[in-house]
Order: sequence, then C-alpha cells, then structure tokens
Amino acid sequence: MDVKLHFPSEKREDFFLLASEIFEVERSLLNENTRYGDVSGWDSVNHLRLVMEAERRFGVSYPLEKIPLMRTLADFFTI
Amino acid sequence: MIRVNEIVLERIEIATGEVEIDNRGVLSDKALEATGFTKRFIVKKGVSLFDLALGAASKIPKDELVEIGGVIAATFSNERRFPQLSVAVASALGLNANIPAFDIQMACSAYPYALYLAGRMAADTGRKILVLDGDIQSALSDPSDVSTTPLFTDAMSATIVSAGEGDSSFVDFYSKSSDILSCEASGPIKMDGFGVFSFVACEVVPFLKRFLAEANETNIDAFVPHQANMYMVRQLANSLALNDKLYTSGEEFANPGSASIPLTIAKRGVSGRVFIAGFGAGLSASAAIVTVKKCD
Repeated sequence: MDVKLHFPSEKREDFFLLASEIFEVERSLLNENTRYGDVSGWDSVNHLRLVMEAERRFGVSYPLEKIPLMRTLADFFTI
Repeated sequence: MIRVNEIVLERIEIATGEVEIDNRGVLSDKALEATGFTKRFIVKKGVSLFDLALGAASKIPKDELVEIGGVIAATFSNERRFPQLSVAVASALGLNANIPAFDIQMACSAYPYALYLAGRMAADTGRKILVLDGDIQSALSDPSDVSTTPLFTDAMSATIVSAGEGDSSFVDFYSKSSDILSCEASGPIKMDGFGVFSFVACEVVPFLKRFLAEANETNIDAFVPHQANMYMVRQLANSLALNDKLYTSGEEFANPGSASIPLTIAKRGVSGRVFIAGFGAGLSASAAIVTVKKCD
C-alpha cells in the first residue's frame, strides 16, 4: 500500500541543497531522477543521514518500511 | 504465532559492566544523534561472563531461589564452550542438581525465545524458571571498528519466570540465514549497518505487524523492543502505532544485546501486559506478549 507523504513543494529546492551538502556534490548534479549510487556520495550511510535530516528540517516522517526502498530523490517527495 | 499459557515475569535483576565509556569523541555527531548512545558500559579486565551472570542472579532473594525448578542461559559470548553458563550458575547458587539447566544462543533475538521455553517449563513443572540473558560483547568487538564497538554495552539479566493462570501469552519467531551480521568463534562481531537496518525495515516490521494482528491483544501496557539504536527504535514504534507505549533505555545504557529488553523493563519499572520484540543476528526476530509483575 502506498503511503501518501506530504512534502512541502516550496521546500524542494532546500531539499536538493541538503542532499548536495550531505553527498558533497554540486547541486547541478542532482534532480528528481537521480538514483542511489548515481553520485558517489549517496551511499548507505549518507542515505540514512539524508532521511533523518530531511525529517528534522522539513517536518516529514518517512515510514520505516519505505526507507531502504527510496532509490531516487523523487521518492523523498512522494512514497 | 503461538498461543501459550500466561508467561509471567516475576522479577528481573540486572548487572552491567562497571566501566563507563564516553562515546562523544568516538562517534561522529551524526552517529551520536542516530544511535542516541552517548555512553556505554563494559566489564573490568578479568571479569568473566560467569561473574556477570552470578552478579545478576545473586541479587535474587534466597527465599525465591528455592522455588526455581530450571535454568536457561541465553548468551553468545561464553568464554568457555563448557561447562555451560546455566549449569555453572545453577551450581554456584546452590540450586538442586536435579533440575534442567541448559544454554541457548540466539544473539539479540534471544530473550523471547528463552521466555517461551521457560514458560513451557514452568507450566509443565509447576515451578519457577530462572532465565539468564546477556553478554560481554566488548570481548568480541574490534576496538578499531567504530560501526560496532561504540554501540555495545556488557550486561547480564536474571529473570524469574512463572506460569500464570490469567490471559494467554503469545510468541512468534522469524529467521533466515545471512552474513550481514556475523561473528566467528573468537570474534570480532561484524555488521553491515544498512543491511541490518533494511532487514528491520523490510522484514521485521511486517513480521511484528502480523504478530500483533494475529494476537489481537487489545490491552498492551508497554512496548519494549531491542535497543538496537534509538532512531530505529522510535521509527519501529511509529510503524506499529505504539509511540505512546514505547519504553527505552538505550539513551542511558546503549545496546546490551538481547539483555536490552529485560534491562529496559527493570530500569524503567515496566509492568503489565508487555509486548517485547527482539531482532538481530541470524538473521532473526522474535516477539512475545507477556505479563510483567510490578516489582517493589
């Protein structure tokens, strides 16, 4: 069953900047279609860091069962 | 899911390592935030698993020891293959030699397994069963591995289990072989952290949801999961809609392996109908709903 996640649309650019910071890559390398492993900094440790920091900064809550399955940056906006 | 006679936890005593280690400066700020483990406890040099187990069990009043009709020790860190920890502690406590005493090994899932066996033995014999559960994890950890060593505390628990005559208890178990969490005979413990996280997220959560649905227990007073790390524990409670029933101890004691469940119950004064969940090496998971007596 898909869980609807409300990620504030006005915060999406801030999310990409956060990912850029955590993955230590240029913002221009990231978009919604970027997949886990496409950039070297998106590894398992940084995946969890991004989840936790996104939850804290943007007030969202990702279901535990979905976290390992979030494989594109778009998955952080809708699940 | 297995429905059994009521499993009652009458008393839990705890012994932890006496050396407190500060994790700040060892774990990164993000790792501290994720795990919640700012400190941990390890045994002093020369302290054996037998010493730690006897330290917990010796806190049981002597008039309660005479009621014990069996001993189960759940541990993966006995320094000696034999004599078995259960047998050694039973003899040291002066228990009757003519009672069953044996060891089991299910790492961080062990406590519900041990309680299931103890509950059956208590029901069959009409006597109380002593469950020893815990480990000296520091002896099997690689000090240079910051993904494992800073997480682990050394602790042992001693639980008195009886068969009640009230509501049934429920237990369930899950296992599949994987090397993402492994330990050779002399160590060290090796863990693929994200692999374990994925196991909990993708397999343990559905297992626990099925268990709760089948048990159909409407009167859960507390949820006490294995204290693997605090972020995971909170997320687990959220997935099961048990946030307001969650009890934790990891923020004070880090991860003492399977002893994390009895330690949390004892240190936080948990009582009533308690849902416990273990998960870890195997890989494996275990669940139980038991009755915990309020201890004075």
